[in-house]
Amino acid sequence: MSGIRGSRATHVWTAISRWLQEGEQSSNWIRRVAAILLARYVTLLFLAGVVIVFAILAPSTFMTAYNWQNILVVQAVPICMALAALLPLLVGEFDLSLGYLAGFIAMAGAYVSGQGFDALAVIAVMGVVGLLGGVINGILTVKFKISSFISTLGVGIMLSGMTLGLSGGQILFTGIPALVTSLARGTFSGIAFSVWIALTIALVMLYVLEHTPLGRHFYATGGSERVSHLAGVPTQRIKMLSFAVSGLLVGVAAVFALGTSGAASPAYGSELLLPAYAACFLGVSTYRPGYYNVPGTMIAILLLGVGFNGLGILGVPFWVQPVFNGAVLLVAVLTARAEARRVKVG
Amino acid sequence: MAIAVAHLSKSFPGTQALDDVELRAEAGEVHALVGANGSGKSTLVKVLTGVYQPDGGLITVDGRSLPGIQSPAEAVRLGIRVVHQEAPLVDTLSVAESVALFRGYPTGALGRIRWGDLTREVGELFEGLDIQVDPSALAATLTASGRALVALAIAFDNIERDGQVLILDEATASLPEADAAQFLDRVKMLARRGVAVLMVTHRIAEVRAVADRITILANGRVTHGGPALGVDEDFIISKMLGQSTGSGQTEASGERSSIEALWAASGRSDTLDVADGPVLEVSQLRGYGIHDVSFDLAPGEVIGITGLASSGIGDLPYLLTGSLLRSGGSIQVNGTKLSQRASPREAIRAGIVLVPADRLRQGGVRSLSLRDNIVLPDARRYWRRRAREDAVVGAAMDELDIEPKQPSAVFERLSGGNQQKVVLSKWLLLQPAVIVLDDPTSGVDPYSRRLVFNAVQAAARRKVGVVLMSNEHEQLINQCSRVLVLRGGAVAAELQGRDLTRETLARWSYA
Repeated sequence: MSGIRGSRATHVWTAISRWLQEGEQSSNWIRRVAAILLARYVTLLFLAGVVIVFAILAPSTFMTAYNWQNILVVQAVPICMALAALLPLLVGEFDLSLGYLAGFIAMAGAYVSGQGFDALAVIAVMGVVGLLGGVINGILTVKFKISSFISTLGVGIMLSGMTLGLSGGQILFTGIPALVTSLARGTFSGIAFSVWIALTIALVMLYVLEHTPLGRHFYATGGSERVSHLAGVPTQRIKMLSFAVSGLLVGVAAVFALGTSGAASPAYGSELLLPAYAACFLGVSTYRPGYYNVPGTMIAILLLGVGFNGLGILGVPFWVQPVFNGAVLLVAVLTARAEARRVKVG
Repeated sequence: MAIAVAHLSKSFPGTQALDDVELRAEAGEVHALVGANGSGKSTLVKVLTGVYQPDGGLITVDGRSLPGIQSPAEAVRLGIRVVHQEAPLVDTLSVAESVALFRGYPTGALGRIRWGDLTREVGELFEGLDIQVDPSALAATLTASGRALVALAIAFDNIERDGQVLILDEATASLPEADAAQFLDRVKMLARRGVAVLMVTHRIAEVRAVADRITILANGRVTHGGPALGVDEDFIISKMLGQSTGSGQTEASGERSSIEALWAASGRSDTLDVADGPVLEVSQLRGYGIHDVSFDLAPGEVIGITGLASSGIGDLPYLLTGSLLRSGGSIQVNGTKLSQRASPREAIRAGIVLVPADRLRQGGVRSLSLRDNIVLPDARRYWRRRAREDAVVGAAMDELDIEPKQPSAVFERLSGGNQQKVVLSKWLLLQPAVIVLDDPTSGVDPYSRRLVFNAVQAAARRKVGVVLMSNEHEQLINQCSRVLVLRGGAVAAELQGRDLTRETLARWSYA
């Protein structure tokens, strides 16, 4: 649609994206590879750049197997949270309750553990609570037609209060089952079980979203709910499903979080929200430009994780960390906007 | 297979939308359904597609008589398919995927989609209909005609398999005439294969070209039903007005100028101050799809501009009125040069305004009232002057016959024709030197079209320059003194006098 005010930046962007598009069909393979890399994997290049910078600045500590294990082991929770944020985004909705929900589930898990229940019961409770949280978000948004921005914010605020109530203002750490902690701390091939599980979930989601009719219905619903509805796609069910699975994934993230720290703090959770969305937005510029997608999100998480780790090793002042994260979020939103424009310009 | 309705009625609080309606569309023929906005034809389409339940009467589909169609899903089961003006495409998906949403994806082991098969199947479907659209293209990149043809293919795909009635709900409204003709060829072909086609349209030329029979609705009643052969525009418009809106007709055909009343109500003088020379001078304009466009517009002149979607014409109205930045050339409005970085605000101050093609997203603020929309660009003039505001809104409603006559009516609830009248009066009230109209009659019924053009011509008589962009060639010939044809972003021809005919316009557009 024209009628949007253009600018010089738009012209430059159009020229670049045209060059890239032509390049992808170029017979010169160097140009073709370069164009595909620049058009679809610019975050990968960015990641490589960040890795090189840290490797030069901290050669003895950053580029070690031990450090990379450290980087990966803390990614299980962010991966699950980002995938949880991704599903509602795909169908054109927002879930702002994710962080609070994670905090509440972790607290519920710790509470049930404290009552002496065994590992399977604790994990089951945490999964069910996550699923329920998602279903409630879904019902408020889909059935009662409250804007998801508002409904999930309301649910989130309520959950933060309930977390406090459940904790009694204390950090709960008694009776956390060994299985839960070993999920997060035990390793296979040097990588934590939790990371393996998160990667498996990501792979399954990638397959379902990109290669099955169900997944395509997610994208179609997000692209145009009306058209999809007219085409006979059960858009309401698809949206409910996205919220429900999203809640379940938050439950998985909470299990890993509880296992990692071995305790649940009433303050935990809300800080998980923004990085999850930052990863989704940043992911839009990668793999399938213009669309929220799983591989792009995973690369984005790695980028954020490496940045976090590298800055820590360099010993930057404590306030640099959030500045870096915020800057990455802004870059993410800007790239997402530019990419969305590219889709429209064609 | 045929579809028929008898004694059909449907009322909403305050209005009788359908009143004892009778209509029969036979298999193998194209039946045109014509009526002013608000005449009940949308209601009839919604009754036939299961969206609304009638209060009384019978619907007969394929020999089965029903008191009503319970749901859109039941309409589909009965073999009724509908093509809307808005094509059912998801912009962010490929064309093939949009088709797959309707027909289902071919899948293999593990539910995996067989993408190759999908592209091939959709390609075959398009080939069978002689539609030149790449199934793997992103839906957002299609032209308006491409979208309409894909919409037809989707409906047709279903019909071939199990449907028998095709309803076209203003399906050609956003298409240029030549593309619409191509589209209607396919429709006719479909009808000849034994499908009953019910075509809702505002284009009388289309009725004459493809319809076998015509039904005309006015105020919820059938005022005419019979063969389409031999009915002309005057006859159709008189039947569309029915008996009860006699006053509207005199206003529509009368020469009384509505402009002075509008300007007087807003406290302006009754003539436009124009500088010497042209009111609009465009020289070597460049930007987006436009490479080189120059023309002058004299005070009171109506100039037409036409071209295919590929000609860049879609960008021209926005370049002229400051909502797209030009990369070169100059625009001078009534003696004032627009700066390179002109905004719509600067353009409006200089005296050039735009009636955009997309009324709901660009023409009016959909959630605001008719009153707020009319005074929007000049709200300061009415600040703490409620009486003047009332007078202006009242004058606009009277002079352009805007329905309903309620200043508080919400813009998006108005019919297309009335929305356009609101947008037009909003700009005319500013006493602009130049008004740019971008496809001003899409989705506007013939009666409202007359009112719109009467107002435009009245403004032109008061020295307002008019730029009319349209792909309805007959309209350009009737309204304009000369017409520019764009091709490849530049003016390919300037036609006037005896050279200005449908044939020359078509030849220059496509050559």
